[in-house]
Amino acid sequence: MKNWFARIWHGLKTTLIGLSITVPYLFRKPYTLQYPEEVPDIPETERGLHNFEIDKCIACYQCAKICPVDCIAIEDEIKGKNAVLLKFEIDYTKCLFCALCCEPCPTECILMGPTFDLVGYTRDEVIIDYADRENPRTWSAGEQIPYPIASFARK
Amino acid sequence: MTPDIKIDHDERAAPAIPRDVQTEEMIFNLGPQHPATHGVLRVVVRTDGEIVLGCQPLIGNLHRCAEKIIESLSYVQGLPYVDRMDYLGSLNNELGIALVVEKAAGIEVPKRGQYLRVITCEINRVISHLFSAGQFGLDMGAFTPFLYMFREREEGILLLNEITGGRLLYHYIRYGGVTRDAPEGWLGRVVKWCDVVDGHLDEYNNLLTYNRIFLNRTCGVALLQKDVCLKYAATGPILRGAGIKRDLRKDMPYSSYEDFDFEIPVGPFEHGVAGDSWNRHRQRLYEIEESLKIIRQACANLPDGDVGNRKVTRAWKAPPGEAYVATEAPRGELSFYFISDGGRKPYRMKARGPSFNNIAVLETEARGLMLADLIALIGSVDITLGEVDR
Amino acid sequence: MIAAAQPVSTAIADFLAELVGMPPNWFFSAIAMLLVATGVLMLVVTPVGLGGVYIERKFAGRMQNRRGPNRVGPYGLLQTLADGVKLLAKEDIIAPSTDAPLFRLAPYVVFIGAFTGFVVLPYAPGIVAGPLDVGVLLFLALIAFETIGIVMAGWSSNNKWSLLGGMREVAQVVSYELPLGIAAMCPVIAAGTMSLNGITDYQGGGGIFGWLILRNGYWAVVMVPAFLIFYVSGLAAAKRAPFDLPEAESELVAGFHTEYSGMRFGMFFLPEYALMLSISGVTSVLFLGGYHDPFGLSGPGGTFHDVWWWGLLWFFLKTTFLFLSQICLRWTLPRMRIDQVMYLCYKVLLPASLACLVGTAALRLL
Ligand code: SF4
Ligand code: SF4
Repeated sequence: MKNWFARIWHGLKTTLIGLSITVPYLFRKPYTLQYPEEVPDIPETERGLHNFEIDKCIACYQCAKICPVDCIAIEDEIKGKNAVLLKFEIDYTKCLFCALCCEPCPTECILMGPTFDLVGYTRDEVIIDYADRENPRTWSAGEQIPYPIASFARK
Repeated sequence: MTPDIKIDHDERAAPAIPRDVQTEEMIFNLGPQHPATHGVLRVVVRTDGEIVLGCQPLIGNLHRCAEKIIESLSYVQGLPYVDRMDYLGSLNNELGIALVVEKAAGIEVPKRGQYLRVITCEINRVISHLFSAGQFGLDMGAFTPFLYMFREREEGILLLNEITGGRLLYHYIRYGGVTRDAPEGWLGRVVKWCDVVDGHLDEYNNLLTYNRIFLNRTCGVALLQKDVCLKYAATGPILRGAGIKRDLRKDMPYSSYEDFDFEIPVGPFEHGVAGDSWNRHRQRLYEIEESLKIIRQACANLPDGDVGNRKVTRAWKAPPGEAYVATEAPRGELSFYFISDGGRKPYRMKARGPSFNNIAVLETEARGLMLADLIALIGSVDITLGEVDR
Repeated sequence: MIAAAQPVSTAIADFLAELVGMPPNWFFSAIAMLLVATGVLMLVVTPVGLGGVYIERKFAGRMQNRRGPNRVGPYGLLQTLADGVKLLAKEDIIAPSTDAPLFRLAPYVVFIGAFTGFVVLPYAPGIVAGPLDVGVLLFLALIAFETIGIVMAGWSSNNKWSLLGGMREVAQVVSYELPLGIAAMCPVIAAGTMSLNGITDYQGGGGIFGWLILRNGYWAVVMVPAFLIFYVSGLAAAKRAPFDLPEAESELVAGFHTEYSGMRFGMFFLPEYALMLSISGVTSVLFLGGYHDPFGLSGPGGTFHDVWWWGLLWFFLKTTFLFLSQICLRWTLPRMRIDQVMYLCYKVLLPASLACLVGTAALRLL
């Protein structure tokens, strides 16, 4: 009988303890970030969609070779002394965001950027051509690239 | 909170069903699309009403040939794939594979690199345990503690994001060290986060762990006793919750774990009996405390120097040989066996994931439980399907 | 409500009869009554359900350090309405292996069972839809009625999870009817009537010490336990956490309504809140003085005696308080197991409620 009452009391007590934890949260500020309006702080090291400095690229294919999933497709054309990029496509359906492609690049022209969202209705929409200068993540010579330190292979 | 009454499994319904109330057997497909199977596990359950007569986990829905992929890529390229095995403890996976290759090739890791590995791996263990404990609460029908734990987990993820660049799949540990030194002020923030988590542990415990209903649901339920754990080679919090003191961080220290002063909590704790769901859950929360201790010590004593040597490049060839390294991942012993034939690719890279062995206990130990207890068993064993299927 | 509705329905019947050019007869009255009933459902009951859903979500959000709905409309007020529209627009899937007639009927049975409870509640002096002499009894019967709908849903879905959910519901609600009924008998014995109006009147005067839970101070000895028993059994009867086993989402996927989609699912969703509210209402009538305020102003001779808005205010406050406490409990506690639910019912609540009943009878004799 004593145990019977003790159990009921224990149940009531722990319920009240639980309520005393959850109910005060009603009057506290929520933790949630209102995403599209409030953008989270992205650290400089974030490995998001790539940034690409098109004028520096010498089409050496190093990045395409090291990519574990072969998701970089490059096509180029030799014009005089220099190679001109015709296509520099990264297939984001495959990309691991491992940043391995940034490491061997001799001119440090492919970098990881801060953009973390990419959506599309078809698979083709998430294959992005960086040889296209209209691409917001393709940068021409002299432009300030955000988060340039993302290439961490060399110090 | 000290328990005012000790709860054993006295209120547990006897699983034996009298002959005259036995009903037609039913076969349930628990999963692959079931809220409580933590991914794509499928368990075929044979029940008599609510009582489980037998069950069989059918795995393989998430099989991605991880080992074979690693063997078909060069060393550098293969590393990001191990992240995807146990996606909740990816740094610990990276540490395992890095250690085994380093051991075979005789690569020295600078002390600072080792300490940074320990700090990040322990943060990863804490957030993984927070996730598991919260998920277990969710399986028991308590939604709120899960979200509280997620809050602290999110902070930990942000810290890891800052140093590694990823939120879930970090690709931070490389052969020979780590990729990057800690950013400015990062260590201070880590210590602050440790205090925050420490402060909230009481909240979780009072809200969930010591709740009477939760105690009733988990104490003495879904017992995995010592002999069962040994028979199935179950490791990690399951083994320690059952009362066997085995933690590779202490028993076979690697990556400078011998430098730190920490305890290994072993069940049984305040309530229940060794090896029940409650003790496994409590084990995880105690391990969080110990991990926080390690993080604090490592942050305080972080030596100066290089964070890694960059010997391993794309064309690197490991010297012929073989090595085996076992590490303590959040879910148990994660070990790699590695053979090199001197080429650019690993000849063999065998992984032993803890979840794969831990899941095997379901088959025999689920007999006689109620359906709700089976959920408690799956939840408290805490498997990651990415690691089971690899 | 009926008091106001009667002239309205007569007027509509007359109008219809005139429209067709026939003398008013029972046929027109029936149509008019149907129209009025639909109107009441649309205007009163749906907002009650939708409001309940909104409050629950908002509370759940804030208790979990989240925000809850805040996108659709100001403060997310229109979120539940938007969800309702979405449910209406969804495909109504009836799997071929279901027992289709039962499957279709079940949501309506649940809906009727949950919403009819509002009929007997005295909201304020003079505002009661059906001032029945056996209000308590009818209310208890309606809870059992709802169970039938849920068993129908569980059985006809031809899904094992649904079946288990339905079986759990029967086991749970039928068992909890006992402590619920016995605990409800305590105020009935004390007040000497089964009519909810009568019980409310009995508690008027004397302020908070006129309420049955604290009546004259010493009644608290039996009434506080009886109140707790009624409250807990009410939670179980309304399938609220920690007794939400019939739909236990981490065990039974969605329990008895796994197979339902679209508005049929909505028909299970809304009654849950309606039942919560009506149980809170009955609890406040039985134990907390119904529409009487704690200061004794609404008692005989008080300033606000028979003032309907004063009574409505207090009834609303008490019911809302109980309703919110149910929500807080749900987002705090884990779920029980079916055998523990039964244990709690038969080994804790039932003996305790019987003791309360005996105690009440003894006190009544004094
Ligand atoms: S981030 Fe990794 S997967 Fe993606 S393109 Fe670069 S190398 Fe390839
Ligand atoms: S490695 Fe750098 S320079 Fe070479 S192709 Fe890739 S982006 Fe261009």
